[in-house]
Amino acid sequence: MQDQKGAHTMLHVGLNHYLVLSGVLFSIGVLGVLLRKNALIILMSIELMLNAVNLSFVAFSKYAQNMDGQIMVFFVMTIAAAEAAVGLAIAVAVFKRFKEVNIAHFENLKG
Amino acid sequence: MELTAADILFYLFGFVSVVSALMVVFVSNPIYSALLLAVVMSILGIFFFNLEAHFIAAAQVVVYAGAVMVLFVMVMMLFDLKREKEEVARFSILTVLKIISVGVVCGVLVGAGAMITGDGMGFIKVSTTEAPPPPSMLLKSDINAPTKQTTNPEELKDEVVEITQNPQAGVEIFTKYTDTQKLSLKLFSKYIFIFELLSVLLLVAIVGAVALARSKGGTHHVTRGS
Repeated sequence: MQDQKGAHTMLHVGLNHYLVLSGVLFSIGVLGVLLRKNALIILMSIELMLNAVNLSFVAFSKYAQNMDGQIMVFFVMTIAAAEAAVGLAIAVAVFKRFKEVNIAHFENLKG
Repeated sequence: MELTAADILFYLFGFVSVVSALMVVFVSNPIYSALLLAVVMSILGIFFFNLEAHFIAAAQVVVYAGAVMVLFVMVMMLFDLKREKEEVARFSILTVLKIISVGVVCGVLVGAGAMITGDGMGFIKVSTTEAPPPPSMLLKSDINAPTKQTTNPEELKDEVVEITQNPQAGVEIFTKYTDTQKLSLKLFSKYIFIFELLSVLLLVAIVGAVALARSKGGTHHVTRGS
């Protein structure tokens, strides 16, 4: 009886499911940042991590009946857009100089 | 025990998003990565919609899947991508260590996410199952007229004053307005200072990006003297 009830709540989508999905997506983003050498892929992985965090913010906002989480998502989106713009500008600068976007070249970038 | 349609859609979209995210990381062509990331972001937009964050869902699709990914693809078009098709990092001890550490991070995050219950968090009241707000959260006027929407500016102003002066009023606001109205009420009252700071940040980002990208030379070889 108790087990059946537990299985029901396990499968029924709630806050925990969204948090688990968010954690998995965040970890995949970390994996991308660590494993890839291409600066563009690294920037995309960072976007993926920010999106995963946004998902947990919105899930908490829904289940805590509190709007503050959505406001935070709004701010994170703005910062992510700014970060993408600056990061891509740096990638363009690296490409101009070295003709490829490998993070190994970033240490040679002086102004 | 029956699964509702919303549950099945969650599992379906969750599976697709995780697979797409993995392919973002492991596909060798950056253009494919960008398109798959757009897929992940659109699916997250669907989740936001399902979580009743309608404005955030729209912003997710417009800003992320639209603007940011178009920016990425456009910058990629500037590059000569033939040489960029490099494989994932070579297999070494370091790679194994990285994968193990990411596995640990993933385990901690997933474990924490799976174990959070309503009582587990002292600082925020969370119900892990979908529950309507208790009657104590409702205003008296809501009980009398549950679907009443206030658009009268005078009344809105009163609510803003109420939020800024009494934090508890935020809970009561939750039941009274539509989603986007609630968001804007909070954004332009309680969080107005952070909002203004963000506008300054965006200005700094614009200036920085232009200054970085505006240096001499193009992205491709051109004959000198032009």
